[in-house]
Amino acid sequence: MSDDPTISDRLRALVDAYLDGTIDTADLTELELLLRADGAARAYFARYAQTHTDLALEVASRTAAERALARLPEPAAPCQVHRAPSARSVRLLVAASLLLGMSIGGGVVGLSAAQTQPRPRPAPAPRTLTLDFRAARPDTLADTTGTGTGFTHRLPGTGSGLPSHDPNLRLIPGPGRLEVTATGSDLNTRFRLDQAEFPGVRLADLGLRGDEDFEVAVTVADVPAMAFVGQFGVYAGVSGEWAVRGGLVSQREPDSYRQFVVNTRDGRDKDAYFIGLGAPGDDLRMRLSRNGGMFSMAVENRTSGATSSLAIRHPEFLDGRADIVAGVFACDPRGKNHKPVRFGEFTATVWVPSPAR
Amino acid sequence: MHEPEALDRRAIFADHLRRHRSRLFAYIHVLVRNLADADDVFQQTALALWRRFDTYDPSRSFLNWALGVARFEAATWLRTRARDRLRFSDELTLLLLDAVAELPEDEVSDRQAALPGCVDKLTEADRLLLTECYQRETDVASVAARLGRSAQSVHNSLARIRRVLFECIERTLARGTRE
Repeated sequence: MSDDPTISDRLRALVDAYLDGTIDTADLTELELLLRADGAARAYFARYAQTHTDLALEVASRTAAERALARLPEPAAPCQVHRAPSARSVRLLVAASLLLGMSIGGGVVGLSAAQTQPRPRPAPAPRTLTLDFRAARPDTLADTTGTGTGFTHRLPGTGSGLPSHDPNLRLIPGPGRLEVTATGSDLNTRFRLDQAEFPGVRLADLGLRGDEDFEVAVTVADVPAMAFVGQFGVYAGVSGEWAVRGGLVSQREPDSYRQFVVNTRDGRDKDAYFIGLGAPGDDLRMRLSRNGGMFSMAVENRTSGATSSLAIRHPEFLDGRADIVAGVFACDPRGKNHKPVRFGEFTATVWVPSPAR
Repeated sequence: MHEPEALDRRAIFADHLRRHRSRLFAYIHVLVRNLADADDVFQQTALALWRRFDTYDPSRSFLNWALGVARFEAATWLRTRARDRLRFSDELTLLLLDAVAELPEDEVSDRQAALPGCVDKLTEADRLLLTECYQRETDVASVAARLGRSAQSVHNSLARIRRVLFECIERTLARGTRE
């Protein structure tokens, strides 16, 4: 009764494609041959297909139940009637808030107690730039048609050989995408940096003065296949030789990626950290952040449902620097047929100190 | 006024159909691959079975007999209503019919009983995707367009969720067997 280990991944994939209706003629022929040749494969198919049908019926019954429940009349709820709090309840709330340091109803309760404490340092406030790629942004890095992409800078030392109408960038306003075609380049070993695609924004424009926390995040739709060490993701750095970047890097095995984060120190990749897996066709959200001075990278795989967090040896070369550029990148140093990476919404946030009151 | 014998016959037929409806419906669903279409074919199959119930040999398996009729009804339906839908050869369809018929009745009902608990263990996002794909029974490309995702990505997610559920059911059944 247990899952048969002799059932190949290929057979499982073909059965899933058949049930989803995404199978093509060639794959259906392959599935037919596999099923005809093996009774265990047919038994697996029968059980798996039964689950598929049971699932359809289960979802239908759940949805019907939720719909029915939503139609039920609301019960009378005297406890939800808004009443002025009694003097006793106010006293209890004030006592609790003093004990717990809570605020009630948006205001601070127990003001006299708070006044005796040192005034807390104001929390830094986020300043965020969002690029949704749904419209042209004039006077920014131009794509192949001359349309402004929204990115204002490149990582210094990269892309100097690219024309002003960059043939590797293509803004697609409908779905809100920026396609960045990977080039045969790599920060590691300074490989063809003049062709390297590292568009970004200057964090100083969001208030970075040196040591503030910041974060850059982007979504990626439908991960393309790349050659070994082909890679894409987000970065922050002061030049092509001094940066931290992370995302997905293609493995030797076809259609296989790993998540990674790496420091580039003086033109060489160091401190690399790899975790997890990805595959072409996946949808992702990547986030590179400096929080409390510490860097981390998170990759949320929206297809597999998994989220991985990667820490890295601290890139001290970015400490105190106000000239950091952060953005997205796509490199495929060994690839022959370079594919575009479809970036969705990009955000860059810097937490700047709130002005003293 | 109905003859008592006719009423008995009807009750026997209803008992057979109720007992085997799950596998019969699943088999049809596999062949036509759409819940609403499967319902149509199931209705036609049930009528055809009732009309031919006189020819049914009670010493043989009702399920095997019903699956054979269902195969014929589904093939006719696909030929006339869904010519463009990719399907298996008749030879393989017969082999799959045997595989479905060989599933022990208890196992099928145990699997169905285990499924809700396994669905409950999914993340909210996975359950929402299942609802999108199964409840509306639209094709993967339409769901992908609605969610702003690629069709491949939605297919990958669905395959992952189905396998998670399948494995969860297998584990649940294995625990039940041990206990």
